[in-house]
Amino acid sequence: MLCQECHNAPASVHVKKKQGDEEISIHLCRACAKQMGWHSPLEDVKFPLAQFIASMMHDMTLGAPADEGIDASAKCSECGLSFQEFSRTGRLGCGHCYEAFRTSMQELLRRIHGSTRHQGRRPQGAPAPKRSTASTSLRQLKAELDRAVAGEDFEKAARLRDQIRELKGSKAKEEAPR
Amino acid sequence: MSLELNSLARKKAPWLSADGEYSHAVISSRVRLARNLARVPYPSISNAKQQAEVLDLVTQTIASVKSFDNGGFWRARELDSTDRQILVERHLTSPEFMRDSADLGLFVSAEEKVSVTVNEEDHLRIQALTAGLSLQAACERAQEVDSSLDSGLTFDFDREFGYLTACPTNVGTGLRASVLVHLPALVLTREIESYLNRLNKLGFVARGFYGEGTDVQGNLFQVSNQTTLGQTEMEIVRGLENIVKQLVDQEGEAEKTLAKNARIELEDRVWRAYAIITHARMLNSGEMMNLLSAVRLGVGLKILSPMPLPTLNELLILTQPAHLQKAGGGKQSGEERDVRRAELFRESLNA
Repeated sequence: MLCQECHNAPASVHVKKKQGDEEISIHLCRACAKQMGWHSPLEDVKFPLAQFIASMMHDMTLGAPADEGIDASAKCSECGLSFQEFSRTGRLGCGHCYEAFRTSMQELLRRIHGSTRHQGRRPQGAPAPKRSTASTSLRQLKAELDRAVAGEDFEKAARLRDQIRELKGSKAKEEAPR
Repeated sequence: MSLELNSLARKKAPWLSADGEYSHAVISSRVRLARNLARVPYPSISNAKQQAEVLDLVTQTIASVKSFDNGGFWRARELDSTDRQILVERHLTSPEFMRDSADLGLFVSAEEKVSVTVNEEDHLRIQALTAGLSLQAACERAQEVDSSLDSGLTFDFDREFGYLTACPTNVGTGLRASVLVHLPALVLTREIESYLNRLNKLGFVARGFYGEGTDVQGNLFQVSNQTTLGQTEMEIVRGLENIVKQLVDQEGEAEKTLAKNARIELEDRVWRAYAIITHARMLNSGEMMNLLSAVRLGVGLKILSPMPLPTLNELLILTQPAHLQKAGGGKQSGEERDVRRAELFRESLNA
């Protein structure tokens, strides 16, 4: 069956619609269906990594001093992948790429995950995590608090609020002139 | 290794047993951990020799992991497309296993509770599947395998970023938890979109029946975490569990509203679906998924007399194309499969 709209592509979306008292069926191809506003509830909720990277590169290159912006020509010394190539595919070539592009990866991971610091399991014998500074933990706790409130996990939210207060106290001490 | 593909295709998968929490709405829970070996390029750019070496290393290490005793191992390139599809349809590995992107291997435990895919996007993808809403159990099971493999392999790990992965969206814990949940009333009342958008804002995402890039079939949504870095494994898993509980509660409310305000339309929809699914002589897979969804809703709302949930769950998998093909013993046309699918429903549901 061909699409009723463009009579060109095979119809793959079948819609039932009330017209007055009658129910009519419409058969459309994916492109026409989308244009007419019929689409699957999942179509709008995607996680476009390439877009993330592109907008990050744009933000970081604009207005950044030349030596702090993203160097798109930077290459991983192990696998030879350039940052430019990564920004096109969204896939890294090897573990060393994270080292080669560390500054850009920090920014990217912060945008994707809202954090750059791993909190979970470690392999046997892996080095202990770096101690985080009070201000990075504070940012993380606040992000977590927002998530807990939005998710209506009030028990966790209360615990986080206390942690934030405590940390703010210790940070104030840290920053106080001696 | 003693698990055979031919017998696998006829077996009931334990994650379809509906004996977990919230089983009326939640089919299954899944946790997968992405891991890579240090100093080896990722499968997308590594050469055949490097891929074979990774597969060898994992094979040697897994031999001493107890949960894989009497399990199965398959190398994708040694299987025809029907056999590969069987493994994908059973949710033991991702649709990536159908493609010849690399030298893909799959280890499956005897009871199909855990599996390890080698040379997919990452060197290893450890997966645990459980019935109902039981993410914490799935997570513990996957972590057990992770620990056992960790004693023989050197996983790539960064003090700041955690476990390193080919795609930055998996970095940190490497953990993707997902729940397969049936939400027919939220779809019927068109409330689903606002809930899916809310999920997105909270760092979760909903996908189709077979994961990323697949369509929603039969009102089954796969809800999973989007972020993998900055929270511990248990925090991620508990967060998702809470969200799914809320979704299931909302689904319950929507079902009540429908039952109250549109009782006759709802009954009509359910009985029609039941009539077709128990009497049709041909059923295609899309139609089947929608009818099965309506029947499941009807059983839940007691419009239909009780039917065992495990049977309804198992039909989801046993009536997938490759499973029908395997059971029919040989190549079948699409029409022949539709006939066989309708037969299976008549045999299973007509008491």
